[in-house]
Amino acid sequence: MIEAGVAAVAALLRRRGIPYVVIGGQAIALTAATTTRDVDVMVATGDFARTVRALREEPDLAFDWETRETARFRLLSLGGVPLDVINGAAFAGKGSDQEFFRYLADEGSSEIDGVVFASPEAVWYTRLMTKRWKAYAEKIVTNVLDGVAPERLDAAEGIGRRFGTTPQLAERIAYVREELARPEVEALRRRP
Amino acid sequence: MKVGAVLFREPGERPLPRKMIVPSARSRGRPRKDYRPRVRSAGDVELLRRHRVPALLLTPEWVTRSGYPVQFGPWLAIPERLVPNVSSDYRILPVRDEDSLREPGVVELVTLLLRFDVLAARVVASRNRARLDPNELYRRVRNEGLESAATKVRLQEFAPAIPVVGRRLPRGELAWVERNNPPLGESA
Repeated sequence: MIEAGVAAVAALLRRRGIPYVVIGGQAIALTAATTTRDVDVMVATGDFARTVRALREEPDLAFDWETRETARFRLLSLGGVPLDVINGAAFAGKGSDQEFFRYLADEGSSEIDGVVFASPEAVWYTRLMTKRWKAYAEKIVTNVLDGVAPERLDAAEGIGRRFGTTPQLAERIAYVREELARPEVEALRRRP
Repeated sequence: MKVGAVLFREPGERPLPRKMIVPSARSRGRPRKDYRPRVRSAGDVELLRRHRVPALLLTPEWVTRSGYPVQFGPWLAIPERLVPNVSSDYRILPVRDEDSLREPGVVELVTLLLRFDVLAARVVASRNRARLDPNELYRRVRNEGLESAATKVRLQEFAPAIPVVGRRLPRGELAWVERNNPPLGESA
């Protein structure tokens, strides 16, 4: 079942004609059990400014702050669930600003009940490309305990090769693999 | 040689309902048939608890009420020694210190969360700091051998006696996780 926050945001963006992909925990929630309630959506770099402008007019959204990469809103009818609108440019590496979102929309996502969700490997790639990647590495460990195949890390590496971000990504993926190899994590993974 | 654990009914105790017990595999030529409880719902867990079996269903509602809004498939926490004797559709969280399952409070919740979601453990500890007994947290973490998970999310800030083992996440990232996941009904 799609979370109320995700459905609400997808409906808003659809109504405004803005292409988006749900990323982060809500996208992973399709294959893993554990997720926080916040909603992250990525839009193309060319759409970022108009998306933020449009959402600022929405009565159910409270605007918090904005940087070049992210704009933070809160969904008022859902008790203030955070909504982050993310500019795809930050993940394009050596590609052009538009390229990562194009990849995500064309190859790295699928549509379920009218909502576009990123694949787990695309979510993991974006998580590991942020400056808070160590905290996100813990979320990846939780995802694997929930049953997401750890081999998807190989696919995330593939995305890194495609966008020329391997030098940055390799060390971070190695860190996640070390965490997954911890005995207490392995013991829980082995259980049915 | 195989070491096993069994559930005994003591004099005066009522048996578990028949729908909750399933026969274990019976060895050829062996006269005795073993049974084990089958846990399929929160009600089954309650029944076990009423029969003094230390079992606990760790639910997202409990974690959300404790200040970290999250969704996950419930985990059934049971003593490690009982794991082979319980049949369940829930994911099993084996616990070394079975006393921790008898009257679980915020310390026990934090300790259980350390097993599968360290960030949740940190946020729950931080948002319930006033109710967190540092000595009790230290004891539970030591009993479960979770020093490394506790260190990762700097639980020494709440229970200084916990030994530092392994990596620590940057303070800024932990603060960011907390800011990013406000309790339900509060502003970010």
